[in-house]
Amino acid sequence: MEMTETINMGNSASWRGHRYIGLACRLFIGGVFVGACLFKIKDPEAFALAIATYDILPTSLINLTAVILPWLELSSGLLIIIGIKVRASALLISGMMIMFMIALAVALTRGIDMSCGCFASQEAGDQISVMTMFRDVFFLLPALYVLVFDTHPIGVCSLRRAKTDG
Amino acid sequence: MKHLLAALILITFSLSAYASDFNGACACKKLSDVDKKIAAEILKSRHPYDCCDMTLAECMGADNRCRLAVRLTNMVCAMVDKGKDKQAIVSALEKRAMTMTPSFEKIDVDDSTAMVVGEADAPVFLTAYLCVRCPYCAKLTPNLYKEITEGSLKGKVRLSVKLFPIKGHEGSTESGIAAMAAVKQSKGFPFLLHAYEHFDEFGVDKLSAWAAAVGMNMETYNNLYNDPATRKALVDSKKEGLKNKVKATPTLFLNGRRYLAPMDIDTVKDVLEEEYERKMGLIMER
Amino acid sequence: MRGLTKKQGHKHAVILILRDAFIIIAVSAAAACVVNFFRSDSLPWIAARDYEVLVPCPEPMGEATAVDIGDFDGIGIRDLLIDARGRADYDNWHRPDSIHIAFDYLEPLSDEAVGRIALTKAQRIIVAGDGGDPDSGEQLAREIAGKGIKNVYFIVGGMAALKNSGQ
Repeated sequence: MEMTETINMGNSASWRGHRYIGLACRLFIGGVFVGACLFKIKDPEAFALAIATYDILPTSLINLTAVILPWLELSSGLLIIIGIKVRASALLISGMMIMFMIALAVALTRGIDMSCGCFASQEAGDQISVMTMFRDVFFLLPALYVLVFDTHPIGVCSLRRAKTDG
Repeated sequence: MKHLLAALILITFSLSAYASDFNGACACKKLSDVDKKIAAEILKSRHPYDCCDMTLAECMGADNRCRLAVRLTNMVCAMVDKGKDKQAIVSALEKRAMTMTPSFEKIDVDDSTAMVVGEADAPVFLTAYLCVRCPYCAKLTPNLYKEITEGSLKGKVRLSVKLFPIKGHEGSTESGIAAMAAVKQSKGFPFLLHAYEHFDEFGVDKLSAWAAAVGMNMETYNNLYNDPATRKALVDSKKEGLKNKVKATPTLFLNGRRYLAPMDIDTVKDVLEEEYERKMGLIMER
Repeated sequence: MRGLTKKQGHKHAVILILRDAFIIIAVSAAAACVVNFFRSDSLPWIAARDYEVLVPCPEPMGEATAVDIGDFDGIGIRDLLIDARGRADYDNWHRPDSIHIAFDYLEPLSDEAVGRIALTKAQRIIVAGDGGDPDSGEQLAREIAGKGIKNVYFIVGGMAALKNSGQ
């Protein structure tokens, strides 16, 4: 039984429309995360180089982050899409988005110009700007929506429950 | 007992043969066993471009090892130690060979707008096209300057820096004009090194303070900064770079030949030492 | 569950969400570690040395095609001719079918200029400059190509070559 997803969070959260809006948000943000992690899983060294470019983590933590983070993105992305542990996945996705935004803000504040082609990392070669920050906010909002409002998500678990109840 | 003795002799012989690949190459001694294996594989397949006709491994095993073989072996081991793969190392060796091969391509450099350091009669002449806002230049140039003024390259190398502002760098024009104004007050290098030391604090509004910090006459600096002739001198410096087929910064030319080998300070220093030995007729020395 | 008060329900839900999140992290980390252990290009858990993040900085240029005036088929109705020479040369003489975008060796091409070129929807962008060494036409053509605009050509010998050819 998915207890986290059956507890009534109040009148506003119990509106059934949240399930459908939540589903759209989940498909969107899950798709983004699954899509984003594939190249990182395929080439962890390139991702490690991208992390190193931001110059935030100590060298000793870079490889560990480069190995684990993409798999966390993949599992939370897949789980949120298929509807298992939806709110926990939304929490993880929100956490990761906030972490990415902090890294971005630090790079912008330091004036690290990643668009000039001076960095070995291909990923870091993407131009970063305040617009990138807005894009990340755009990705964070659906994850937060699912976390707060999608208390009865449509998906594998709800289908299983319906079958059991039926 | 006989078998044990034979086995011991065999093991000792194998180990000494393995070690002879790296004999005299300091960078190889600190490698792990796995890395030593990778380095040995490369050394067994590559030949030095001068001084010895055998493979690097065979050259290193010979009684009279030539200096170039030791240098190249050290370079291979240093790159293995940095985690570079075989393909990258072989490519770096080939590019180093191309750098050292005499070329008909001659570059045209106007020294009147250059920052020059090193003794006038130094046998090796290095030309560097740099951008004041290039992070890689900020890393390489101070080390190079230190080696030429007080390190092992003193008296061997003369460095001439030409400005090549990169359009993708914010503030490259303004900082380039300020550096050109510094050149005109014979403060080119102090300004450039100050700009690289404070690279992360850059702002166009900081340029005057940096000029003052290196002891420039501020009235003259301001006049030069606003003088269209200073901008034109910067444009001419960049045009000269483009004419010499400069496409990125830093770009180095070694006695007029394009430098293609890896750009880390250790390799640059090693290549400059090699060029010095070549100029002094020491390249065949054992 | 119905016996729980609203506040208790919230607390319980948060605890369960956190527990699930922790399980997902643990399982993902374990999977990541196992896969990394078995792959041929596995990363060491701790980097032995600092990553070399910097590379030499390139001038932001793309690829433009050189056109020899002898092989040039003329400016067509769907082509855009750009005069890259300085203002004085342009004012002195220019072709009426050209637009003027003077090449600046220091400042990047403005977004407005790129937009102006893109809006013409020309089939070919043909740039002619001063024909010198370096040639401002070639440099501008490469800079335009570097901004993502396709089918960019430059006339070898510049505007003078184009004028002399009578095309």
